[in-house]
Amino acid sequence: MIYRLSLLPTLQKFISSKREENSEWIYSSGYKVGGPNTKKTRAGFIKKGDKIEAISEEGDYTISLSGEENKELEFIPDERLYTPPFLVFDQILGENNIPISFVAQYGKKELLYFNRDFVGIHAPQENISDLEKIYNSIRFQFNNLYRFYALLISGSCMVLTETEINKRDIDALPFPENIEYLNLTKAEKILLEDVLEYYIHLGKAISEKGQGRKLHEKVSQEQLKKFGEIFCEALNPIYSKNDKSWQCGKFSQMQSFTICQLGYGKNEGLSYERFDHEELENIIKPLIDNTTSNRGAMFKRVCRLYKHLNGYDCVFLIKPNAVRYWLGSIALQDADETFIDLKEGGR
Amino acid sequence: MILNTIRNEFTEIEEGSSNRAILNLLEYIEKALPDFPNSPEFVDILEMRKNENQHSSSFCVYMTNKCNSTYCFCGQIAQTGSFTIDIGVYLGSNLIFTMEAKLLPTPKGTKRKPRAEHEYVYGKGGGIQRFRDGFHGVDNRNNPLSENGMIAYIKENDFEYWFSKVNQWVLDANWGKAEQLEKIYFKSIGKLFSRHTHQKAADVNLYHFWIYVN
Repeated sequence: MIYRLSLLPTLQKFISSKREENSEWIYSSGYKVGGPNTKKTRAGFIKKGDKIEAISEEGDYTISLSGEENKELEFIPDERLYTPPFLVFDQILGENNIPISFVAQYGKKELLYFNRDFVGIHAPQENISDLEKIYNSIRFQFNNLYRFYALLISGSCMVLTETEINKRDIDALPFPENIEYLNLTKAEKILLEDVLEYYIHLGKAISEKGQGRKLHEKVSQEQLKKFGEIFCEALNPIYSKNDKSWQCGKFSQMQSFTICQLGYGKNEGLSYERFDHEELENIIKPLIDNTTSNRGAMFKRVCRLYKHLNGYDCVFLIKPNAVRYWLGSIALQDADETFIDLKEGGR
Repeated sequence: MILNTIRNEFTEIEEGSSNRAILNLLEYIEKALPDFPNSPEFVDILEMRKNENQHSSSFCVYMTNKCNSTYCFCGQIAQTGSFTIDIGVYLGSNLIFTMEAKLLPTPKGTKRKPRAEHEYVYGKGGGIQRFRDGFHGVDNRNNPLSENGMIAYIKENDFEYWFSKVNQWVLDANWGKAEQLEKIYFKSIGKLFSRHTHQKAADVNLYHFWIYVN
């Protein structure tokens, strides 16, 4: 999915093509104060404007009361960057989007400036609709896709800090002419949801009180059902035929592991319910204890066992109870592996 | 042991059912390929240079975009030993299909590295030959794939002309008539089929997709 998205034209390419048409387009980080020993230039723009100090996820910006106190700066972008209309991004991942503000006009002063914590795009007045298009894509239309993409390609996010991104990550956001390419398939949506809901917390140690603990919680029956449905939906385009399909079967949760049955056979013949005690004793226990067909399985955390049962070709997944083993993205992975087993088994 | 259970116990999933993944893919290629030369991917990527690799890059981008990653078409995929194939198609994390790409006519190459006109079929870099020899057409576990493909980007002459040329090259390679290409149809794209003996495994089936790129 990242590979596909990485092949699309980027936001940087879009701005470059606009800049070729009109050189007033400017795309840059804000000014840099610099250290005590760096070469600096006097910044004339400071007295002509107000300083943005924060941007909210709702698109609002906050003005600093004191403004920039340093009068000499190491890097000063083209002053027109700070002249409305412009877009300004904060270089962090918000909970819903990359914080971005659209400054169409600013009445109080001539300029509205920002430092290198932010990235700006200035466009000529006649191209204001292009700025709106970028703003709407990032803030509303593809907010989660862009969070997902920035998170996965960023060299700093989840490495330096959990949410920090940099200008290069914004440069690389996919921005194709044909926005249909940003619409996601069902499988892509599953990956996106898992990354933003669960894997995003892997950037730091998972504590009992941290948000990442949800990865280690016991999987619920609802989550298990969703897992089974995703598994079946991944395999049915290949195997569903003559009123037969993959279906969710029974499940059982022990103290430390969960068993989930997925079966192929006559439509609507399996139902999602608990194994009863007798079935566990007569079917599941011998399956797990079968050391001939299942050599080494007792030492693995994840097992995939095959058995024909009551008219259904079944795969039994046996894994620890933690949610992270039963996510939608893992169901896709299990379906891939099952496909290969079936193919190699001549099916 | 797992495979024995599937082979011996499974009765509901018919033998060879997994091949439907390939049939679905072939259907998709046939459906999407006619629009490829008019796509922005084709125009943008081939704006500057038009060699074989650029054609395959734009083909991969176009095909992957068009199906929103249901399949992932990737360029230069590792095969047996140090061999790489022009295009590999993934379904999820599994490499299910490989394709070798050729320009027709074959570019002349350089003085140091001349290229033979029959490169589609045999010789150094021979498209079909590499499948026959088992260097191309393996999945990501190194198992031979029985179904693979070739794509020809045709710059001059028509499908019929290349059909007769390619089949003559098959005879020139001394492979026999049984390995000549069968025409399935010539419309806006050409679809052909051939079956070849494989040096180390079962026969290899090749689906040939031809498209005009001028």
